[in-house]
Amino acid sequence: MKEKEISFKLNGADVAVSVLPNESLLKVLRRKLGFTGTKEGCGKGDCGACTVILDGDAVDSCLVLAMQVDGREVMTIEGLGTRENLHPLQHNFIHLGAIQCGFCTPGQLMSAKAFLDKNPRPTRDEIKVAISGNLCRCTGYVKIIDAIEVTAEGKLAAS
Amino acid sequence: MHEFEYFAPKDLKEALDLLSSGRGKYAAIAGGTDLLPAVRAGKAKPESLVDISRLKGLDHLRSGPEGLEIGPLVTHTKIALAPELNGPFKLLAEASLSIGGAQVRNRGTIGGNIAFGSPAGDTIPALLALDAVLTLQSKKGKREVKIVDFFTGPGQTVMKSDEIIVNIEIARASKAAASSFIKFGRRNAMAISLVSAGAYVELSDGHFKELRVALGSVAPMVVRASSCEEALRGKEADPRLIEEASKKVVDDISPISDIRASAEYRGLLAQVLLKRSINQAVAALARA
Repeated sequence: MKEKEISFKLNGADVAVSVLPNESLLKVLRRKLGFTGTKEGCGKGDCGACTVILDGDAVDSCLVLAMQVDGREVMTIEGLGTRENLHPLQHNFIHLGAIQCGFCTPGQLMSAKAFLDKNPRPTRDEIKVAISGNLCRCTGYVKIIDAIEVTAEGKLAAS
Repeated sequence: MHEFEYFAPKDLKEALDLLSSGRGKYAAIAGGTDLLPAVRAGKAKPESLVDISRLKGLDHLRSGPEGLEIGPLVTHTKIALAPELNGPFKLLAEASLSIGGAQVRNRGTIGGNIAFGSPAGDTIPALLALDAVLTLQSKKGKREVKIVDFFTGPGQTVMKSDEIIVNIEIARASKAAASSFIKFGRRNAMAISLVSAGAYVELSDGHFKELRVALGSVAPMVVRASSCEEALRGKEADPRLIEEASKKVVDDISPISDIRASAEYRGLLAQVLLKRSINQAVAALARA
């Protein structure tokens, strides 16, 4: 297979990396760029653990070929906030019990971020539809929805 | 993982030249939401992928005096939100909204859903009910194929390996028309349909002037419920007549048992969803 160098914006920074045609964005993020915050749950677009934001849209990175992001903008969980400077979504997920094992969490946050950027005042039902591509085996979803709802209301849960 | 080469043609001409040069071994990729899982499962083995996802001129969605024209690259997200689909063609927006979850809808395209040709492809019953006409194009030229003639079996279509869909056309509806799409899955999202139903109705003086109902996941291809349609065309849009006619659905379908549902359940569900989708479309007209 013919390897090719692609360049794109990752969390606001320019990156260039050599990729193979059959490498997914997910694999390249994790293995070639060291951004392991994005998780592989199923590898076939069924679970949403690999959700990243591509040009403003939440997508399953396992279904995007790395070559397809040449010249585009990608945001991963690492770009959402830092330990010292949490994004309100992250703060509310932590303090409202929306995280148990944490495996689905990066994907949930990416879906939530992309969604709230387009729909800043959603109904609870709209939130449920927005995360319906993100499976969680631990929490039963209620607290994840709560955390997104509270964030949309502009509030920070008590620490 | 299966190895393949990747091409990113800069325009349609280059894409079609590539597909032609592939002699059947190249596959077009857009959103890849069906193709990549198929490749990873070993069900598709293209030598090369020709990325058509960024080609210009294939993502139009325009309403004109003749009707609606939709490009193959329009994503399900865009179709679900399109104001042009707010009237009689609403079932197509409802169908696209029922697919996957947000992530899949942001990448998956209507052209891909059609070309993949699954008997469970959710936009297909909607397009069959709307009598859509596809334009296929290859290096050799263009041709039009009615959607009802497009599928030949599960995952099989009349499209050649050097062709892609370049337009989907839906003829203008009469004023007194409405439509409805219903999908049942084992979940509310991220589900392959157990049965899906798309109904398009035109009423005149309370009678069915036109009625087209298509059912998904109950036959090797998405099918029109012709027996039910014949029983109702020209008749009064009365729930009891619709109920009677829905019993004829057994003549139009051949459901199978699989991990999602039994053939028997699918048969019962097909009858109910056929009835419901027609009733919902009729009710939508009454409200209009």
